Amino acid sequence: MTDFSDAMSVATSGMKAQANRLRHVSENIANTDTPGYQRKTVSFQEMVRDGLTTGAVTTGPMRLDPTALTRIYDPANPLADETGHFDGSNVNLLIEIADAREAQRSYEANLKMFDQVRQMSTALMDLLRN
Amino acid sequence: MHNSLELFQTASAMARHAGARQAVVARNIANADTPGFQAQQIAAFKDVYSAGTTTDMRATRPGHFPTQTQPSVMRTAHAAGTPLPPTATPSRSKMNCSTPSR
Repeated sequence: MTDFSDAMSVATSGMKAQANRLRHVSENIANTDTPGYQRKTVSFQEMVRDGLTTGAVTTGPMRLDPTALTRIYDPANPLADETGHFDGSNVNLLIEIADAREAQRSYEANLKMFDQVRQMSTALMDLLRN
Repeated sequence: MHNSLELFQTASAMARHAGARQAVVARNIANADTPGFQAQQIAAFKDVYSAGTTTDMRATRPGHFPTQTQPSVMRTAHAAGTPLPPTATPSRSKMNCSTPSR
């Protein structure tokens, strides 16, 4: 039984972590056109409780992508300097969409795992009840 | 009667094994995107049942577990929170370190 609840909590942690990643991706996409915006990234790590690895996953601290910001030429923009350029964001939409798709797939895998464990324990409970 | 009792034991052992395996697979799937995470696997039911031992962790590749000399340390019990033996630095990052910079 504890295996089932462990598996369920691990799958839940995976879904939480992927949802958190997706939130950062959507922040990046929303701020694509924000001048000076640096893309946010999170990486995953194993969850450690009381010095022990629990097998669950969590997102690490949020980091800013240090890639150089794009220089946009638009002399009419109030932010433009004397050369007519201003700093855009360093968000690449292609990367963000790919990241979002990967998060979706991983979320699906964890959801599937959760459903499977639930079915297994439900079957066991049904058997014991009847 | 005796035979059927053993059958029950086998069936429940199989169910327990399947549950433990499900937990390990869930952990692997949850950590699919974790950098440096190494997938884990438990011994096949056939092997553990005939040996009468608990389900030890089994490496799919040599070098999966740095403490390969003491496989009894790695039990699926650590799904329940027992400490994992200290793992070495992930092989992926090792490879990156040894790659000569161009």
